[in-house]
Amino acid sequence: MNILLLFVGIFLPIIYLIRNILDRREIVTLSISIFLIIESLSISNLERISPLLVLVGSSIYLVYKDKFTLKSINIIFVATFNYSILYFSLYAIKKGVTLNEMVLLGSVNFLITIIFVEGNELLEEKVRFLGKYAIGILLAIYDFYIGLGYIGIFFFITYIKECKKNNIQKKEIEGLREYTKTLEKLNSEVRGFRHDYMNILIAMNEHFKEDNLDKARKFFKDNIWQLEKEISLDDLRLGLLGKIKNPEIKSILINKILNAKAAKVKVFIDIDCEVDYINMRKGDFIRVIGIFIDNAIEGSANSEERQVLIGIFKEKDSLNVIIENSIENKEMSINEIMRDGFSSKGKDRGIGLYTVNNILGKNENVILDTMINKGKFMQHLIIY
Amino acid sequence: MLKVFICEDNEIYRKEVEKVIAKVILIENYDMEIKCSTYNSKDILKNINSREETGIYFLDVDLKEEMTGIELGSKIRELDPNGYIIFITTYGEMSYLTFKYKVEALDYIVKEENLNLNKRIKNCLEEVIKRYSIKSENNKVFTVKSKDRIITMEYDEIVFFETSQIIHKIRLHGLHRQVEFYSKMKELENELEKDFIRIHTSFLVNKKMIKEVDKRNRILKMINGEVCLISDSGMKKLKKSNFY
Repeated sequence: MNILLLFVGIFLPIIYLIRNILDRREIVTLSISIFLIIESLSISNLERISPLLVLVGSSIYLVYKDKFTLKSINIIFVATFNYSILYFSLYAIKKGVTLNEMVLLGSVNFLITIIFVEGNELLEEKVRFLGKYAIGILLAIYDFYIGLGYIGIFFFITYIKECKKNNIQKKEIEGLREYTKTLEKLNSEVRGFRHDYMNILIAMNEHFKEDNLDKARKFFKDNIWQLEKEISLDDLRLGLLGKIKNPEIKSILINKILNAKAAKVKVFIDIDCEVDYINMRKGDFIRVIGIFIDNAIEGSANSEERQVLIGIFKEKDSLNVIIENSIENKEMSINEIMRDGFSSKGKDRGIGLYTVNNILGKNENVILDTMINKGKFMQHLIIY
Repeated sequence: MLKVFICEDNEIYRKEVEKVIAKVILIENYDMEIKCSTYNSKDILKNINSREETGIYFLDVDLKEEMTGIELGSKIRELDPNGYIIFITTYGEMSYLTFKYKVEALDYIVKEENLNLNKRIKNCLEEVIKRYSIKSENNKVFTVKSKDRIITMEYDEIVFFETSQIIHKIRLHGLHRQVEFYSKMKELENELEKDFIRIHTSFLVNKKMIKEVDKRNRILKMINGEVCLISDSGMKKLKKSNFY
């Protein structure tokens, strides 16, 4: 996808540039085309630099008065205008635009704008013999289709977004289903335990009646002690997730816990408060927590204890999330662990901490405390 | 002398704990004694005398009375802020974070691990002794209050301070901990003037942690492998302090 975007955003403008050079050999057009390429590379700053470009272009035009400068100014102007409209409508719909979408938007927009301006000009030349009104009507039809193209892109992006969302929801439902299954299993285990427990009490009582202490002792060791171990204690703690009222957060935790189970890593959950409101964008929170838990599972997988702790608790003014894991090399310094997180070791780890850094860099009210203590690596997130 | 308190409502288990503690104290020859062993939280609170002695408290989380062990722990914290609290709990009820962050408990003992009781208690008392003796040593400690948190770190643990993308949010890079807090570089610089050196608008480094000055690339290598940038005036300051 990214390669395609780069192709559209850079390769096509370069072709445009070469064509211009071959055609006119105009130094002004050349420089403006270069500007356009730079511009499409730094699309996030489009709105900021284009007024400047238009200004520079206009003054060049006033000096040289050539047609091609005018055309380039025209392109910059139209491109910026359309880009802003697309950007802001996308922003309004989903409250935020990712870098990828911005690049896509910018490059496709740039391409269409060139087609638009060049096409208008070409059309005007070709149909000149038809007379003023016919030209007007044809141009209007042409522009109308270009406009449709814009609307098309817009709906296409929204459509992709929708598909992604559906996928996420599907995953969430799967996680919740798995969670319900675990709780049901636990429930029947507890019921079974109660049943066995009664039987054991009756049997014990018999042994006591007979005054046979040895038998009673053996019975106790074989049955009661054993029974206690059978109940899956870790599942018992899964019930604590009920305290999380936000379905997205609950489902990401469930998913990660199931991942850990699959990786044979023990997860200890500790949630001592109800969690509903989080003073941070939900998407950001979920990404950060997801990355921390993934890292924790990976980090603990090589350790002896293979244990991860996920904890959430409230203080007076803050919500605290702690993700802790046992580590393999107990002598490792915090710097080494962080560097591993940034490096390309492991598939997604490198991107992980980098993303966390970026997200937390935008959140003024969030504090991160990272620590190594007694063979445990801990990420402590404090949200005020 | 350290005083041991035990609050556990299951009498058999309490006697067991008592026995093991007494044994460990005897064998390791610790300067401790069991002052109070009871099923009742009031007895504990009555017997605390923190002005003259520091306590070690073994508390059952699930007491058969109104007050839970955790509430008792918080009350003890008020009366004996330096005391050492160890919770006794079952796996299902265990709330590790509450122990650690709200009551600042030293450790916990899980009842299911009955067979390990001896070892667990030994570990706990060992840790108490270790911390108790560290407290009497006098190391320079950096303390900063950031909203409702207090962050403390010994000078010998701090490598450098770094500004973040957000104004007044500063990141402390330590040997075993990296933590952010709200403060101003200027204030830190003034406070830490003697042992630290401001080599860049964004960096305040611990003089003891400098490994070498890379003059050509203008970076400072620290002993833990991290690097900091040096500004013009930073170079001059380093020269003045004879780092190169």
